[in-house]
Amino acid sequence: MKILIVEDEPRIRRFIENQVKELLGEQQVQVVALEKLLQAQEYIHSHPIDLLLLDLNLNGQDGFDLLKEMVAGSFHTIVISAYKDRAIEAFEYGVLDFIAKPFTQDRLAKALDRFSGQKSQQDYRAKYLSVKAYGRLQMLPMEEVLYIQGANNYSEVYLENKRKFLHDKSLENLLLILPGNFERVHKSYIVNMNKAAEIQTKPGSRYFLVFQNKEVVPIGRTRFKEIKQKLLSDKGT
Amino acid sequence: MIKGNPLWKSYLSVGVISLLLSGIAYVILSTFEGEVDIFGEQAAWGSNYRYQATGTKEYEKIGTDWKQGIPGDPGMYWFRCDVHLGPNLEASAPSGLFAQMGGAFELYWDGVLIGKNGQVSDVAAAEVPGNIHSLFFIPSALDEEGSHTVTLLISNFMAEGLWEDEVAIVAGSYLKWSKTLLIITTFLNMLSGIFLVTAIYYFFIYFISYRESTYLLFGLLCVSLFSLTVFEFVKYFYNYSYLWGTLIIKIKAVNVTVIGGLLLLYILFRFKVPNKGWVFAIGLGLVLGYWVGMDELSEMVVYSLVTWLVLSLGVVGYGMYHRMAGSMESTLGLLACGLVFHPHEHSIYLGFGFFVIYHLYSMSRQLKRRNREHRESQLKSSRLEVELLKRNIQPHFLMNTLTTLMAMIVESPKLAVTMIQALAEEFHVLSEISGKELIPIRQEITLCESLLKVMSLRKEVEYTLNTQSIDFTEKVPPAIFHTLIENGIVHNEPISGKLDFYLSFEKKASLKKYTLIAGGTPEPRVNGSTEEGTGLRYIKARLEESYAQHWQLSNGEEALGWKTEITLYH
Repeated sequence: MKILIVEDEPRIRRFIENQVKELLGEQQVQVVALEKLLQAQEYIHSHPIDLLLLDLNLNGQDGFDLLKEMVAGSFHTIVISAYKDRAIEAFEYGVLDFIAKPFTQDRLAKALDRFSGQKSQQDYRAKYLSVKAYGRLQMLPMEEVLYIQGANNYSEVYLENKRKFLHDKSLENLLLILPGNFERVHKSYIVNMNKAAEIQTKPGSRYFLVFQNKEVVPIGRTRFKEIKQKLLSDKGT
Repeated sequence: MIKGNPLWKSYLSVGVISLLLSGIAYVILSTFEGEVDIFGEQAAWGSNYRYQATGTKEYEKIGTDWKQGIPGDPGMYWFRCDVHLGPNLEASAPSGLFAQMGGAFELYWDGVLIGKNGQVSDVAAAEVPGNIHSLFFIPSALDEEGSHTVTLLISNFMAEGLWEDEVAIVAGSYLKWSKTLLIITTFLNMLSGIFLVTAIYYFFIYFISYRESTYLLFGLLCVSLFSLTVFEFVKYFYNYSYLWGTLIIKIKAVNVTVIGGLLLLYILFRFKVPNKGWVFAIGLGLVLGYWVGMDELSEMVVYSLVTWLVLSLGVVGYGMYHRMAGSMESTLGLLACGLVFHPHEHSIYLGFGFFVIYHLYSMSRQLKRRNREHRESQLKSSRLEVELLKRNIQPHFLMNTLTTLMAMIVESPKLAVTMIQALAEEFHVLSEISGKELIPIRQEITLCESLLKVMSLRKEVEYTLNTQSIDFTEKVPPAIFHTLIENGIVHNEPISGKLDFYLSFEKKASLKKYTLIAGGTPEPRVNGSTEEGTGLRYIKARLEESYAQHWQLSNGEEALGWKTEITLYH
């Protein structure tokens, strides 16, 4: 597991580095700590990472612009910032967690747990999916997303209006930040249950989920029961 | 224009004042009309009254030729004129003749001596000066309907040619005349009261509230108006001889000229016109020229007053053109001043009285504006204080410092203690200075040093502040260098773990200059970058608060790093 820490205060940087190593075990992780975001951007370019622990001055637009770029990456981003009041906004853009300064080791441990997927219940979820399209960043509102299809290490995001975007995160990584109405219906599909209309059964125990706009995605055999239940209970309420 | 006080409102109030004042002027000027003034122009208005001048005025200087007009040259004169007497409607009321004159005289009615004032003589040494006011009964035996001849034997050896405009002989009801004198006295008392109270009020404003030349000049103007009224009405209290009267006429002439000069000075300071000195010098030059070059005292006064008033009108015209607050009221006030030239004896007080009233109105509006500006500046001051404190408890500074402290407590508790001390020092100074407009430079340097200590511990960079030729008696707005140093720490890259700041001071005849250089490598600065932007805005607002427009801030890259210069002009 490769973790990158970006923090311009040397003492805090060392502190985070030591805590992470202590929490995850020095043998399990490879931690790199950098001072400047510019160095980090360069580093990420040539070194794939799994998690970014980012100190960001979120006072003002500059910090959020940088954040949007980071969350479009394949890795997860945990923000460590002094600006606690900007936490909700950061979540909406799709950060995995937001740690307000000053923080304790426990709080850092909780964030790392969330990354490991051990505890994924979260108060705030992303409202947008940050994607790179045509050389620039675009923020896709979650309510326009119909389903997401996994493709190796990245994903394809399908919108209601039939447009398609590529996202650098894998389906597994996306699941950690998507809102609760997104359900994995198949090894390669995550759907927005708010847009689902019904379940179609075809010969040979093949199941399909039909959206309100008549688009169709397959449902995995092992997941059929659970999805059917969910759809019924959603309809019931 | 004052906010929330639209233009029409001020036009309306000025209009109402103008109407009111013209009404008062009309009533006052017409109150004193009516009696037959045998000498003055009012003779023509006498037709409705019992006495009517019929003949042409005639003067005879004994021993020389006949002369038209009121005697100016010293000598002994015979004066004679015919008056027509209508039927006496109030049989019981005696008739009288009132005389104001610079001389000694004997008064004859149809050839009968009815009164004497002083001792007439044809040689100066023998003349006993008469009092300037005298009132005589016309014996009832001579008070008959028809034509009468009034004859005066006058000698005026001490008049110095100054009494031509001050002479009046008026016939009428004796009782009515006594009453008229009382009315005039009341009127003058009232006016002098207005001038005196206004003067005192504006002196208080000047000495207690606002030390501004405008208030002092207005006070002085009112004092000289007060003194003019005092010299005018003292004769109604004490009937002095015309010898004193001659002196008083001279004093009044100087007094009126001074009033005109003060009026121009006041207007010049009030409207902040450029080249005040030159405008006043032109006026003063002309006036001195009149006083040196002219023979007639009355001409000197009229020319001087016209000069002052025309120059003043020019200045308020400039004010009107530039839409300066209060210029409209001032113009109206000056136009009302034109009443000064009305031939009535007391119109000069009326004219200046109106001028004062217009300016009281306009100055009370100015005070209102001032109060508002004062409130706003207080508000601005407290906003700046809040901003200063806010910037120091802003999360980026405070939370990072606390996080560093947490890390330090684990890493090295001793360092943590040092850090807490440095932080406490910074906040101590901050709380001391935040509410002040200016603080000693020493305190500012202490603040900067405590910040650098905190930052050195936080960033593990050796920050130093080097000062050069600082004058420790100087004061500066709080936290301006502190803010520049904060910006320097954020935007300058240390070189091998060191970053030096240099603060120097320079004093010249007309300016003081502080230069702060932040060493290291300045990173390219984006215009409007949030943090530097708010910092600079804070500094500029503080400079504006303390030095109005007399400051300049410039910055740019130079060999040693990033240089900021703050220049303060005297």
